[in-house]
Amino acid sequence: MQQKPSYCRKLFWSMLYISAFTFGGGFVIIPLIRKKFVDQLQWLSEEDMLDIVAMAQSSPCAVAMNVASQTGYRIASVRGTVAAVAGTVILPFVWISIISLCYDAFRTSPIADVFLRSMQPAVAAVIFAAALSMLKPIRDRKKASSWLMFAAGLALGLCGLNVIWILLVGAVFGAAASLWEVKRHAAG
Amino acid sequence: MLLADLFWSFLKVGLFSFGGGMVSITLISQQVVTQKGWLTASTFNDPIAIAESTPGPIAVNAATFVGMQLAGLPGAIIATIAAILPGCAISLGLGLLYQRYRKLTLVQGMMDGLRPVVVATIFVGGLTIMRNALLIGGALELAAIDWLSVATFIVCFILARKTKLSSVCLIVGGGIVGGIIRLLLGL
Repeated sequence: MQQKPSYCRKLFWSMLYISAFTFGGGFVIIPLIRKKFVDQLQWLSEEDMLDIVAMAQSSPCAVAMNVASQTGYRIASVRGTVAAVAGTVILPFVWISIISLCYDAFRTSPIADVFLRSMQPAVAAVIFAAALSMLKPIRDRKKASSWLMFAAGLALGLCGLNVIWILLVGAVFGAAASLWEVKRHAAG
Repeated sequence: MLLADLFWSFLKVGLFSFGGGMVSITLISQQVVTQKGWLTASTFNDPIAIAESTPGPIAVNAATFVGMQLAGLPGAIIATIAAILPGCAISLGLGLLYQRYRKLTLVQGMMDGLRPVVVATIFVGGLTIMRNALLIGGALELAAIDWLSVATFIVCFILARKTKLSSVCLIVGGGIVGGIIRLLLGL
Protein backbone atom coordinates (compact mmCIF):
# COMPACT_ATOMS: atom_id res chain seq x y z
CA MET A 1 0.00 0.00 0.00
CA GLN A 2 1.43 3.34 -1.04
CA GLN A 3 0.96 6.61 0.81
CA LYS A 4 2.61 9.11 -1.52
CA PRO A 5 0.53 12.10 -2.52
CA SER A 6 1.33 11.41 -6.17
CA TYR A 7 -0.70 8.20 -5.96
CA CYS A 8 -3.66 10.16 -4.64
CA ARG A 9 -3.38 12.69 -7.43
CA LYS A 10 -3.21 9.94 -10.05
CA LEU A 11 -6.18 8.22 -8.41
CA PHE A 12 -8.23 11.41 -8.48
CA TRP A 13 -7.57 12.17 -12.14
CA SER A 14 -8.03 8.55 -13.22
CA MET A 15 -11.38 8.33 -11.45
CA LEU A 16 -12.46 11.70 -12.86
CA TYR A 17 -11.73 10.40 -16.35
CA ILE A 18 -13.39 7.04 -15.74
CA SER A 19 -16.50 8.52 -14.15
CA ALA A 20 -17.20 10.52 -17.30
CA PHE A 21 -17.89 7.26 -19.14
CA THR A 22 -19.81 5.12 -16.67
CA PHE A 23 -23.06 5.16 -18.63
CA GLY A 24 -25.71 2.61 -17.81
CA GLY A 25 -25.30 1.44 -14.24
CA GLY A 26 -22.73 0.52 -11.64
CA PHE A 27 -21.12 -2.42 -13.38
CA VAL A 28 -19.59 -0.36 -16.15
CA ILE A 29 -17.08 1.05 -13.71
CA ILE A 30 -15.60 -2.40 -13.06
CA PRO A 31 -14.08 -2.96 -16.54
CA LEU A 32 -12.93 0.66 -16.63
CA ILE A 33 -11.14 0.47 -13.27
CA ARG A 34 -9.75 -2.98 -14.06
CA LYS A 35 -8.26 -1.74 -17.32
CA LYS A 36 -6.67 1.29 -15.66
CA PHE A 37 -5.34 -0.14 -12.41
CA VAL A 38 -4.75 -3.82 -13.27
CA ASP A 39 -3.72 -3.73 -16.94
CA GLN A 40 -2.21 -0.30 -17.41
CA LEU A 41 -0.77 0.90 -14.09
CA GLN A 42 -0.46 -2.59 -12.53
CA TRP A 43 -1.17 -1.20 -9.06
CA LEU A 44 -3.70 -3.98 -8.42
CA SER A 45 -3.82 -7.72 -9.17
CA GLU A 46 -6.77 -9.58 -10.68
CA GLU A 47 -7.54 -10.96 -7.20
CA ASP A 48 -7.39 -7.49 -5.65
CA MET A 49 -10.00 -6.44 -8.18
CA LEU A 50 -12.29 -9.33 -7.22
CA ASP A 51 -11.93 -8.49 -3.53
CA ILE A 52 -12.72 -4.86 -4.25
CA VAL A 53 -15.94 -5.77 -6.04
CA ALA A 54 -16.86 -8.29 -3.33
CA MET A 55 -16.59 -5.65 -0.61
CA ALA A 56 -18.28 -3.02 -2.73
CA GLN A 57 -21.27 -5.29 -3.25
CA SER A 58 -21.42 -6.18 0.43
CA SER A 59 -21.88 -2.49 1.27
CA PRO A 60 -25.09 -0.59 0.68
CA CYS A 61 -25.66 2.13 -1.92
CA ALA A 62 -24.24 2.51 -5.40
CA VAL A 63 -21.80 -0.24 -6.35
CA ALA A 64 -19.81 2.16 -8.54
CA MET A 65 -19.22 4.50 -5.61
CA ASN A 66 -18.15 1.66 -3.33
CA VAL A 67 -15.86 0.19 -5.98
CA ALA A 68 -14.21 3.60 -6.26
CA SER A 69 -13.77 3.95 -2.51
CA GLN A 70 -12.37 0.40 -2.16
CA THR A 71 -9.96 0.96 -5.04
CA GLY A 72 -8.75 4.16 -3.42
CA TYR A 73 -8.35 2.44 -0.07
CA ARG A 74 -6.30 -0.46 -1.49
CA ILE A 75 -3.96 1.88 -3.32
CA ALA A 76 -3.45 4.69 -0.82
CA SER A 77 -5.46 4.02 2.35
CA VAL A 78 -8.02 6.53 3.64
CA ARG A 79 -6.55 9.43 1.65
CA GLY A 80 -6.85 7.29 -1.44
CA THR A 81 -10.52 6.71 -0.68
CA VAL A 82 -11.18 10.43 -0.41
CA ALA A 83 -9.30 11.13 -3.64
CA ALA A 84 -11.06 8.34 -5.56
CA VAL A 85 -14.56 9.17 -4.29
CA ALA A 86 -14.13 12.89 -4.98
CA GLY A 87 -12.92 12.09 -8.49
CA THR A 88 -15.86 9.79 -9.13
CA VAL A 89 -18.60 12.07 -7.85
CA ILE A 90 -17.68 15.46 -9.35
CA LEU A 91 -18.45 15.00 -13.06
CA PRO A 92 -21.81 13.22 -12.72
CA PHE A 93 -22.79 15.84 -10.14
CA VAL A 94 -22.03 18.78 -12.44
CA TRP A 95 -23.62 17.00 -15.38
CA ILE A 96 -26.89 16.20 -13.55
CA SER A 97 -27.11 19.68 -12.06
CA ILE A 98 -26.87 21.21 -15.54
CA ILE A 99 -29.29 18.72 -17.07
CA SER A 100 -31.88 19.15 -14.36
CA LEU A 101 -32.00 22.83 -15.28
CA CYS A 102 -32.61 22.21 -18.97
CA TYR A 103 -34.12 18.76 -18.85
CA ASP A 104 -36.76 19.20 -21.55
CA ALA A 105 -34.20 20.02 -24.23
CA PHE A 106 -32.17 16.95 -23.27
CA ARG A 107 -35.14 14.59 -23.17
CA THR A 108 -36.39 15.53 -26.60
CA SER A 109 -33.00 15.34 -28.30
CA PRO A 110 -33.02 12.35 -30.70
CA ILE A 111 -29.25 12.51 -31.16
CA ALA A 112 -28.56 11.89 -27.45
CA ASP A 113 -30.97 8.96 -27.51
CA VAL A 114 -29.38 7.30 -30.57
CA PHE A 115 -25.89 7.79 -29.16
CA LEU A 116 -26.86 6.25 -25.81
CA ARG A 117 -28.63 3.33 -27.45
CA SER A 118 -25.62 2.62 -29.68
CA MET A 119 -23.30 2.64 -26.68
CA GLN A 120 -25.16 -0.12 -24.82
CA PRO A 121 -23.84 -3.12 -26.83
CA ALA A 122 -20.30 -1.77 -26.43
CA VAL A 123 -20.86 -1.46 -22.68
CA ALA A 124 -22.07 -5.08 -22.52
CA ALA A 125 -19.04 -6.26 -24.55
CA VAL A 126 -16.59 -4.45 -22.28
CA ILE A 127 -18.22 -5.92 -19.15
CA PHE A 128 -18.07 -9.45 -20.58
CA ALA A 129 -14.44 -9.06 -21.58
CA ALA A 130 -13.58 -7.93 -18.03
CA ALA A 131 -15.58 -10.79 -16.49
CA LEU A 132 -13.64 -13.28 -18.62
CA SER A 133 -10.32 -11.85 -17.42
CA MET A 134 -11.51 -12.01 -13.83
CA LEU A 135 -12.43 -15.65 -14.34
CA LYS A 136 -8.79 -16.69 -14.26
CA PRO A 137 -8.23 -16.58 -10.48
CA ILE A 138 -11.44 -18.65 -10.10
CA ARG A 139 -10.37 -21.32 -12.57
CA ASP A 140 -6.95 -21.64 -10.92
CA ARG A 141 -8.72 -22.56 -7.69
CA LYS A 142 -10.49 -25.72 -6.62
CA LYS A 143 -13.39 -27.08 -8.66
CA ALA A 144 -15.84 -26.01 -5.96
CA SER A 145 -15.19 -22.35 -6.84
CA SER A 146 -16.38 -22.86 -10.40
CA TRP A 147 -19.51 -24.69 -9.22
CA LEU A 148 -20.22 -21.93 -6.73
CA MET A 149 -19.93 -19.42 -9.57
CA PHE A 150 -22.40 -21.32 -11.76
CA ALA A 151 -24.86 -21.71 -8.91
CA ALA A 152 -24.63 -18.01 -8.05
CA GLY A 153 -25.12 -17.08 -11.69
CA LEU A 154 -28.24 -19.23 -11.95
CA ALA A 155 -29.68 -17.92 -8.69
CA LEU A 156 -29.12 -14.34 -9.82
CA GLY A 157 -30.03 -14.60 -13.46
CA LEU A 158 -33.00 -16.97 -13.30
CA CYS A 159 -34.46 -16.51 -9.83
CA GLY A 160 -33.64 -12.82 -9.53
CA LEU A 161 -32.53 -13.16 -5.90
CA ASN A 162 -31.09 -10.05 -4.26
CA VAL A 163 -27.32 -10.05 -4.64
CA ILE A 164 -26.73 -9.56 -0.92
CA TRP A 165 -28.18 -13.02 -0.04
CA ILE A 166 -26.05 -14.74 -2.65
CA LEU A 167 -22.93 -12.97 -1.37
CA LEU A 168 -23.81 -14.05 2.15
CA VAL A 169 -24.19 -17.69 1.08
CA GLY A 170 -20.86 -17.50 -0.78
CA ALA A 171 -19.06 -16.07 2.27
CA VAL A 172 -20.55 -18.64 4.66
CA PHE A 173 -19.79 -21.46 2.24
CA GLY A 174 -16.17 -20.29 1.85
CA ALA A 175 -15.69 -19.86 5.60
CA ALA A 176 -17.16 -23.31 6.32
CA ALA A 177 -14.94 -24.90 3.66
CA SER A 178 -11.82 -23.31 5.14
CA LEU A 179 -12.71 -24.44 8.68
CA TRP A 180 -13.35 -27.96 7.42
CA GLU A 181 -9.96 -27.94 5.69
CA VAL A 182 -8.21 -26.83 8.89
CA LYS A 183 -9.94 -29.57 10.86
CA ARG A 184 -9.00 -32.21 8.29
CA HIS A 185 -5.36 -31.14 8.39
CA ALA A 186 -5.37 -31.20 12.19
CA ALA A 187 -6.90 -34.68 12.22
CA GLY A 188 -4.78 -36.21 9.51
CA MET B 1 -35.92 22.36 7.38
CA LEU B 2 -36.01 21.03 3.85
CA LEU B 3 -32.24 20.55 3.69
CA ALA B 4 -32.13 18.48 6.87
CA ASP B 5 -35.08 16.47 5.59
CA LEU B 6 -33.34 15.86 2.28
CA PHE B 7 -30.15 14.79 4.03
CA TRP B 8 -31.97 12.37 6.31
CA SER B 9 -34.07 10.87 3.48
CA PHE B 10 -31.13 10.19 1.21
CA LEU B 11 -29.00 8.93 4.09
CA LYS B 12 -31.66 6.27 4.63
CA VAL B 13 -31.70 5.47 0.93
CA GLY B 14 -27.93 5.15 0.93
CA LEU B 15 -27.94 2.98 4.02
CA PHE B 16 -30.56 0.46 2.99
CA SER B 17 -30.07 0.03 -0.73
CA PHE B 18 -28.19 -3.26 -0.81
CA GLY B 19 -28.02 -4.97 -4.16
CA GLY B 20 -27.82 -2.43 -6.94
CA GLY B 21 -29.46 0.41 -8.78
CA MET B 22 -33.01 -0.84 -9.03
CA VAL B 23 -33.22 -1.39 -5.28
CA SER B 24 -32.15 2.22 -4.74
CA ILE B 25 -34.74 3.46 -7.21
CA THR B 26 -37.49 1.69 -5.26
CA LEU B 27 -36.25 3.16 -1.98
CA ILE B 28 -35.94 6.66 -3.42
CA SER B 29 -39.43 6.46 -4.80
CA GLN B 30 -40.74 5.41 -1.36
CA GLN B 31 -39.01 8.37 0.26
CA VAL B 32 -39.56 11.05 -2.32
CA VAL B 33 -42.99 10.15 -3.74
CA THR B 34 -44.87 8.10 -1.14
CA GLN B 35 -43.63 9.47 2.18
CA LYS B 36 -42.66 13.08 1.54
CA GLY B 37 -44.73 13.86 -1.54
CA TRP B 38 -41.84 15.92 -2.95
CA LEU B 39 -42.42 14.63 -6.48
CA THR B 40 -45.41 13.00 -8.15
CA ALA B 41 -45.07 9.46 -9.50
CA SER B 42 -44.91 10.68 -13.09
CA THR B 43 -42.27 13.35 -12.47
CA PHE B 44 -40.31 10.72 -10.59
CA ASN B 45 -39.71 8.93 -13.90
CA ASP B 46 -37.64 11.91 -15.05
CA PRO B 47 -34.74 11.42 -12.63
CA ILE B 48 -34.68 7.72 -13.51
CA ALA B 49 -34.53 8.43 -17.23
CA ILE B 50 -31.82 11.02 -16.65
CA ALA B 51 -29.88 8.82 -14.28
CA GLU B 52 -29.86 6.05 -16.87
CA SER B 53 -28.70 8.26 -19.70
CA THR B 54 -25.90 10.11 -17.93
CA PRO B 55 -22.65 8.79 -16.54
CA GLY B 56 -22.49 7.95 -12.85
CA PRO B 57 -24.38 5.65 -10.48
CA ILE B 58 -28.18 5.83 -10.66
CA ALA B 59 -28.79 6.30 -6.94
CA VAL B 60 -26.33 9.18 -6.68
CA ASN B 61 -27.60 10.81 -9.86
CA ALA B 62 -31.20 10.57 -8.70
CA ALA B 63 -30.21 12.18 -5.39
CA THR B 64 -28.51 15.05 -7.19
CA PHE B 65 -31.55 15.56 -9.42
CA VAL B 66 -34.15 15.50 -6.65
CA GLY B 67 -32.02 17.78 -4.45
CA MET B 68 -31.57 20.24 -7.30
CA GLN B 69 -35.29 20.29 -8.09
CA LEU B 70 -36.33 20.84 -4.48
CA ALA B 71 -33.70 23.18 -3.08
CA GLY B 72 -31.29 24.24 -5.81
CA LEU B 73 -27.53 23.73 -5.58
CA PRO B 74 -27.37 23.40 -1.75
CA GLY B 75 -30.08 20.74 -1.97
CA ALA B 76 -28.18 18.88 -4.68
CA ILE B 77 -24.96 18.91 -2.66
CA ILE B 78 -26.64 17.79 0.58
CA ALA B 79 -28.63 14.99 -1.10
CA THR B 80 -25.61 13.70 -3.02
CA ILE B 81 -23.37 13.61 0.05
CA ALA B 82 -26.10 11.87 2.06
CA ALA B 83 -26.55 9.23 -0.65
CA ILE B 84 -22.86 8.27 -0.90
CA LEU B 85 -21.88 8.62 2.76
CA PRO B 86 -23.21 5.32 4.19
CA GLY B 87 -21.90 3.17 1.33
CA CYS B 88 -18.45 4.72 1.43
CA ALA B 89 -18.24 4.56 5.23
CA ILE B 90 -19.31 0.92 5.38
CA SER B 91 -17.11 -0.23 2.51
CA LEU B 92 -14.22 1.67 4.09
CA GLY B 93 -14.92 -0.16 7.36
CA LEU B 94 -14.90 -3.49 5.53
CA GLY B 95 -11.62 -2.51 3.89
CA LEU B 96 -10.06 -1.71 7.28
CA LEU B 97 -11.29 -5.01 8.75
CA TYR B 98 -9.94 -6.88 5.76
CA GLN B 99 -6.50 -5.24 6.05
CA ARG B 100 -6.35 -6.23 9.69
CA TYR B 101 -7.67 -9.78 9.52
CA ARG B 102 -6.79 -10.94 6.01
CA LYS B 103 -4.19 -13.40 7.32
CA LEU B 104 -6.88 -15.39 9.17
CA THR B 105 -7.88 -18.66 7.51
CA LEU B 106 -11.52 -17.88 8.13
CA VAL B 107 -11.32 -14.53 6.34
CA GLN B 108 -9.38 -16.05 3.47
CA GLY B 109 -12.03 -18.74 3.21
CA MET B 110 -14.77 -16.11 3.11
CA MET B 111 -13.02 -14.25 0.32
CA ASP B 112 -12.54 -17.55 -1.54
CA GLY B 113 -16.28 -18.03 -1.33
CA LEU B 114 -17.08 -14.44 -2.33
CA ARG B 115 -14.85 -14.23 -5.42
CA PRO B 116 -16.75 -16.74 -7.59
CA VAL B 117 -20.04 -15.09 -6.60
CA VAL B 118 -18.63 -11.71 -7.63
CA VAL B 119 -17.59 -12.98 -11.05
CA ALA B 120 -21.08 -14.43 -11.48
CA THR B 121 -22.70 -11.09 -10.61
CA ILE B 122 -20.55 -9.32 -13.20
CA PHE B 123 -21.55 -11.86 -15.86
CA VAL B 124 -25.23 -11.50 -14.99
CA GLY B 125 -24.89 -7.70 -14.95
CA GLY B 126 -23.36 -7.83 -18.43
CA LEU B 127 -26.10 -10.21 -19.56
CA THR B 128 -28.86 -7.87 -18.39
CA ILE B 129 -27.35 -4.94 -20.27
CA MET B 130 -26.79 -7.18 -23.30
CA ARG B 131 -30.40 -8.32 -23.34
CA ASN B 132 -31.70 -4.76 -23.33
CA ALA B 133 -29.16 -3.68 -25.92
CA LEU B 134 -29.44 -6.55 -28.40
CA LEU B 135 -33.16 -7.26 -28.17
CA ILE B 136 -35.57 -4.39 -28.81
CA GLY B 137 -37.69 -4.07 -25.70
CA GLY B 138 -35.76 -7.00 -24.18
CA ALA B 139 -38.18 -9.52 -25.77
CA LEU B 140 -36.76 -13.01 -26.37
CA GLU B 141 -37.84 -13.27 -30.02
CA LEU B 142 -35.98 -13.54 -33.31
CA ALA B 143 -37.83 -10.50 -34.68
CA ALA B 144 -36.69 -8.38 -31.74
CA ILE B 145 -32.98 -8.81 -32.49
CA ASP B 146 -31.25 -5.53 -33.26
CA TRP B 147 -28.59 -6.71 -35.74
CA LEU B 148 -26.58 -3.49 -35.64
CA SER B 149 -26.25 -3.88 -31.87
CA VAL B 150 -25.22 -7.52 -32.29
CA ALA B 151 -22.50 -6.44 -34.72
CA THR B 152 -21.35 -3.66 -32.35
CA PHE B 153 -21.23 -6.14 -29.49
CA ILE B 154 -19.15 -8.70 -31.40
CA VAL B 155 -16.68 -6.13 -32.75
CA CYS B 156 -16.23 -4.46 -29.34
CA PHE B 157 -15.85 -7.79 -27.57
CA ILE B 158 -13.13 -8.96 -29.97
CA LEU B 159 -11.34 -5.61 -29.72
CA ALA B 160 -11.55 -5.68 -25.92
CA ARG B 161 -10.04 -9.18 -25.76
CA LYS B 162 -7.44 -8.96 -28.51
CA THR B 163 -6.18 -5.37 -28.43
CA LYS B 164 -4.99 -2.96 -25.77
CA LEU B 165 -7.67 -0.39 -26.65
CA SER B 166 -9.10 1.19 -23.51
CA SER B 167 -12.67 0.43 -22.47
CA VAL B 168 -13.49 4.13 -22.73
CA CYS B 169 -12.39 4.14 -26.41
CA LEU B 170 -14.60 1.14 -27.11
CA ILE B 171 -17.69 2.51 -25.36
CA VAL B 172 -17.46 5.98 -26.89
CA GLY B 173 -16.33 4.60 -30.27
CA GLY B 174 -19.18 2.08 -30.29
CA GLY B 175 -21.64 4.85 -29.48
CA ILE B 176 -20.36 7.22 -32.18
CA VAL B 177 -19.86 4.67 -35.00
CA GLY B 178 -23.10 2.82 -34.19
CA GLY B 179 -24.97 6.10 -33.79
CA ILE B 180 -23.78 7.47 -37.16
CA ILE B 181 -24.72 4.22 -38.93
CA ARG B 182 -28.12 4.29 -37.23
CA LEU B 183 -28.76 7.90 -38.24
CA LEU B 184 -27.60 7.27 -41.84
CA LEU B 185 -29.79 4.20 -42.20
CA GLY B 186 -32.65 5.97 -40.48
CA LEU B 187 -33.09 3.18 -37.93
